[in-house]
Amino acid sequence: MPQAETVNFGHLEYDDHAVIEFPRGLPAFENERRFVIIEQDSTRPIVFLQSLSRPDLSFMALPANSVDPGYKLMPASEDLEDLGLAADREPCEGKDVVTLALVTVWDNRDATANLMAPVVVNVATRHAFQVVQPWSGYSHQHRLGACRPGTAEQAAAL
Amino acid sequence: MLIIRRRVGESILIGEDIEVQITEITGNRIKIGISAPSHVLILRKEIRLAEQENLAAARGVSPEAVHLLLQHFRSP
Repeated sequence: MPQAETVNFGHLEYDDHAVIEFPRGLPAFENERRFVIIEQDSTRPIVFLQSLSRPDLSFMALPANSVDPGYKLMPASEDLEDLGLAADREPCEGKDVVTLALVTVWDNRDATANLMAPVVVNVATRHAFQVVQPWSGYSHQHRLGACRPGTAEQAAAL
Repeated sequence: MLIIRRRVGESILIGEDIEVQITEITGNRIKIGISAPSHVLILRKEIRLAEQENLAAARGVSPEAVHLLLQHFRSP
């Protein structure tokens, strides 16, 4: 089984099936092309993306429809082409694609999810792109309520 | 912010070295030609936003961050 050393997950053994390939990397990380998807029962629905080229690089992500249940992907035709998806129909979530929003946890405000530029994975090819959709009307910082430092203590006290 | 109206074919000059020309308008989309020295960065704004978000997202991963994020799904 392939293995990798990681800062956040220690020594990792993974299935080739769990590797996703970003042909263009991600904005600000254009050279990082290979990531492994990590899901754990204890941390669902969070999906972790661990870089296989940089042990210190990982992202937290959420399925876009767990952030916004009505979430609708609005790719341009070039995006569908990049992803290797049919141009004439909407990709089916869960079957054709998995759509994830990368999450940022902040020091002094609620965590946010980037719904404007989701990571879209082609299920069949395991190729992925971060699809930047400024026309979608979604926010690059969609607020996830109750994720502010301090609220954990408040919730525990209830 | 300076707001200027232009028609197709008209241009705007920025500094000594930059020209922005409106080359085509179709419906609600506009085609813009930009000439600038190669050292000047030209970037669609949403790409810069995506870069900044990705950098912040990558910086923030930790067990504490995971715990915090799960609050969103656990709390009433």
